[in-house]
Amino acid sequence: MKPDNVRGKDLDKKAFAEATRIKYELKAEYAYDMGFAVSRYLMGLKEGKIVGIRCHKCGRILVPPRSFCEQCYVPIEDFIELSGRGKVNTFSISYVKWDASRIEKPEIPAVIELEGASPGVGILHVLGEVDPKDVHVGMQVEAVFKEEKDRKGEITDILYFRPVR
Amino acid sequence: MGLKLKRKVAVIGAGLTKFMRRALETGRELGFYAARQALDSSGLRFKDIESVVISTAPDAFDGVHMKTEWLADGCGSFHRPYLRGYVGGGSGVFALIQGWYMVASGMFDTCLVVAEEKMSCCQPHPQGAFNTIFDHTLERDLGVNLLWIFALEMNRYMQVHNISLEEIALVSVKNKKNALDHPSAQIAKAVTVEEVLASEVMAWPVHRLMVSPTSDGAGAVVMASEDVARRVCEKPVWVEGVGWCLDTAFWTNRDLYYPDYVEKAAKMAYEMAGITDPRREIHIAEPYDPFAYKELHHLEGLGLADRGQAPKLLAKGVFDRDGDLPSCPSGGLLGVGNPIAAAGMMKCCELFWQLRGEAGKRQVTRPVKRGVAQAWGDLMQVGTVIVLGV
Amino acid sequence: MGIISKVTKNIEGKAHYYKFPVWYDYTVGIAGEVFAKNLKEKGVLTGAKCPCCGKVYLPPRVYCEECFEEIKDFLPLDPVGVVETYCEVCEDIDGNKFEKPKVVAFVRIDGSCGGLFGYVEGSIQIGEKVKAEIVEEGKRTGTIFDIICFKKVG
Repeated sequence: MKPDNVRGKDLDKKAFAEATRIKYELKAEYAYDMGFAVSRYLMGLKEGKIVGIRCHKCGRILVPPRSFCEQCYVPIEDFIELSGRGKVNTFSISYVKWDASRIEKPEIPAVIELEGASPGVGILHVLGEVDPKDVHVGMQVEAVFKEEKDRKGEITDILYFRPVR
Repeated sequence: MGLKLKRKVAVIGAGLTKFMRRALETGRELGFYAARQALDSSGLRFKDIESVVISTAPDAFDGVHMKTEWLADGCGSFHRPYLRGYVGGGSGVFALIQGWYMVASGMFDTCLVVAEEKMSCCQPHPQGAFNTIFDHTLERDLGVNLLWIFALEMNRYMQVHNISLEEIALVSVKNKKNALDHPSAQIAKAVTVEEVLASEVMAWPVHRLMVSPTSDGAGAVVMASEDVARRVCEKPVWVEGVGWCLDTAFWTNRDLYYPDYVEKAAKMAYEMAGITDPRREIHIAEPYDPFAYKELHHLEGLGLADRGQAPKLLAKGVFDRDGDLPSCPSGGLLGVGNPIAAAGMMKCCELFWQLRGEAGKRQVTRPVKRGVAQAWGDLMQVGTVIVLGV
Repeated sequence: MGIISKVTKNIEGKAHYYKFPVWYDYTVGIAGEVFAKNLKEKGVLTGAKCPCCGKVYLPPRVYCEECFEEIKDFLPLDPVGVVETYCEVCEDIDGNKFEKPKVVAFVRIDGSCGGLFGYVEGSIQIGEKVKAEIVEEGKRTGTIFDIICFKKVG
């Protein structure tokens, strides 16, 4: 039967701890530029608004905004203010963090299709002020922003999306 | 596209290491084990290898910058022209596509293709290295992790087609059981649907037993021109079609329920292979299964089931080893393991052995002359497909 | 307005900062463990000899890169060799200047076709023979840090 003579020495946690190991702390820090379109988006968030952009060629209204339409491959610049409301396209209820550690109170990431953008066009964010049991695809939601004084021009200026009352 | 294959290329040897949670071996040593085994099974000598493709996903896992250059001498690249293949998880199949065009172009008669991953070095958990896949300004600050994106896609797929968790859990049951017969398997186990659904909810709807593990491992194949293959190999496995396609990284602007990029990659490969009715003309499939629902998602993208219907066919036993269209007879990523690039390679190796009747206890019941392997990667973006036949 | 003008157009924006959050714990591998054991227990280096061409690799490895044969023959080597090249490092990785430049050499270890990097105490010339000062027995870890520095022989 193939494969035969498979090689490899699997270490359990104890054996791994006892093996000769070299630890290395990677020093990798980044200062990313935003670019033209995302800068405008973040300026909008600081003002408590969600801004999209329209492609004059295909007519799609896109968010997050971008400097070019990736389907038509042309530069675009018509920014459009959106309502800040939308509907849940898909969601998850997560008990695991980036480092695989577990949390008791789950986070609810979701893709939210934004009102005013083309159908199916959405952003990633989290849901709040909602019981995980009540979340469903198609749920109408609205953005909840931080207090004006606390906004910095970052995606976290939106605290979360909550069900429309 | 209408591409006519000018030069036939075959896979003539294959090798695979164990897939492990934490290997003692370095990446270079793993690469050597797999490459040497592939070479030994090919009938060629090391000096007959004219070119090398090395496929390995993020440098961030092994923690070595320019990882392939570091792996290179262990993977047989000494003083040879070499190419790196890197499309995230799609790399393992993409590596064979690159090996194919190294030889099909006429530039080389032989190519050693190696895929390797050593994820265990990355602390506190290899999952952390995936964080940088998300948009640096608009997504990472939300506390993202890789499980989110699969859970979001799985939920959408279930929602659009009204698929239940039980139907998806059957994939874990099938693959983990199949893997019991795979010598390289890391997490083979006989489990029931109930056990899968009782396993820890990581990011609903994803349960722990629906997720492939992080792994260390390597695999390799030797590819050769028709001339060389017919001289040294008793039963060459021919590359009949290749395809690959990348979708946009603006993943929140697409409907995740269906992998368009897999369909387009498959179309390219089937056209090249002259396949017009994949469900009849493909006899065995190794679609990429990092999560249980993904196998179904990809079977539909490959045109081997109608949209939303893969779960129904699975429940009927169509995709079992003794079914009409065996899928992941190897045990897949869910059973054998998921060292990112090497996982796709494992699938190609499986097709190689199945098509030659060498898969032993894993050998599928029905006669097989043609199979498809598919891998996926990046931000729900890339489809890489290869059709192999005898 | 074309895209080129946007590059030069003055807009409000700032950089977004990110620190890559992972660190690494590398195993040293099959050959590396032999090297570690010999260094820790006996204070010697280890070479790996190809059964086909006879080349002795240091650091040791389980394969010969030229013959692609497996190597199982590991031999002890004294930490003595010849300076092949060296440089004087004046600042650290972050650009902070050292009080006194540090000399780093690549030492071709006798009996092998390989060698090691190491700090050198004192001034050095290419071609000079050096020997490693090893950490005392009982305090060694089996890693490259067991070599304190290389010193001129004689």
